[in-house]
Amino acid sequence: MKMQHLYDKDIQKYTFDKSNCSSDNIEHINSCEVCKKVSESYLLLSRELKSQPEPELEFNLTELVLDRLAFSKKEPIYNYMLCLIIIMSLGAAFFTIYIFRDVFSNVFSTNITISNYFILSIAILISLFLGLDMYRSYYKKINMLKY
Amino acid sequence: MEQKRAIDRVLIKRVLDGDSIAFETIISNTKGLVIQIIYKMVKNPEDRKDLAQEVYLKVYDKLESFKFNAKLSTWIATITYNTCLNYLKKKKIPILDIDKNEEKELWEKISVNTFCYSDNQTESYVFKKERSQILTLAIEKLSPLYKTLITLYHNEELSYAEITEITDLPKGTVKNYLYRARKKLKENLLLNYKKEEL
Repeated sequence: MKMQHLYDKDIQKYTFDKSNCSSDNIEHINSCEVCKKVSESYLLLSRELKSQPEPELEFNLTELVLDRLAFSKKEPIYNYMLCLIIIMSLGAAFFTIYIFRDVFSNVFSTNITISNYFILSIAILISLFLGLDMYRSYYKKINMLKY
Repeated sequence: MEQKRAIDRVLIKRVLDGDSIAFETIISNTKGLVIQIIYKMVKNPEDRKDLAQEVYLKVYDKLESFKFNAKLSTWIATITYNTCLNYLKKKKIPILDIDKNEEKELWEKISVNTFCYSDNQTESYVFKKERSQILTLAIEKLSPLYKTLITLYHNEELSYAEITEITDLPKGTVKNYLYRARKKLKENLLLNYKKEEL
């Protein structure tokens, strides 16, 4: 058995992690009033810590979180609306092309001029630009949601 | 343990199917632990509120990737700890102030007189005064990491393995920090006592 008083760390080990405490130290503490007192003071501290009240929230966390998540729950409806708008727009575009098919066929078959190519290439460029911009903003929003 | 995992599994499945009540259950089951970590690591009340929300939004976002290797509460606590850690890094607040004398002091042999005297003092003081208030003050003086470890071990009664998983620190380091934290806490209590005595 050790005759000298133990280190603070060893006393804490005895108090909170007895299975890893050496038998010499256990024997010493069991027979030493001073070390036992230190161990008891740590036990007292531990008991006091356990009885500490939990912090109280000044806000309703569940409500706040669920309110913010309600946005993503509405997403499917929002997606259906978006699909509907896209389908309706495509329908309207095809309908217009169908109605004015003679005009379009004349423009692209008989009178192919540089100005036609110019108009067409500008239209493609604008569509491309808008498409890329939409894609970029979509990814930006998704990344924000992913933190 | 297995029963708890089964409950977690059912809850997660229900949340992924769009059941908000299941997510409400997860929040109420884990809120205590999350709040304890946030309150110990962050001082600003507004930031605490934001971080608590951020944690659960992250949980909701990542729930699909939860692999059931740990308890759901431990996984949520890990997210909370990492969120707070990032916050402290951003604010340039140190998570741990290591005092060079701390290690030395920890290994100092106890002095019979000092300890007998100080322990009686601590004991009587703790019992005499409004204990919870005194302890809160003493805990407040600890660094964020020490506060968190003390809370996880003593208040939440988590095992070393669980604390290791949450903090991503080796088991030996967790034990070592806990020794230092308790010693420091005891010293803070004594310091409060001495100040009041004066």
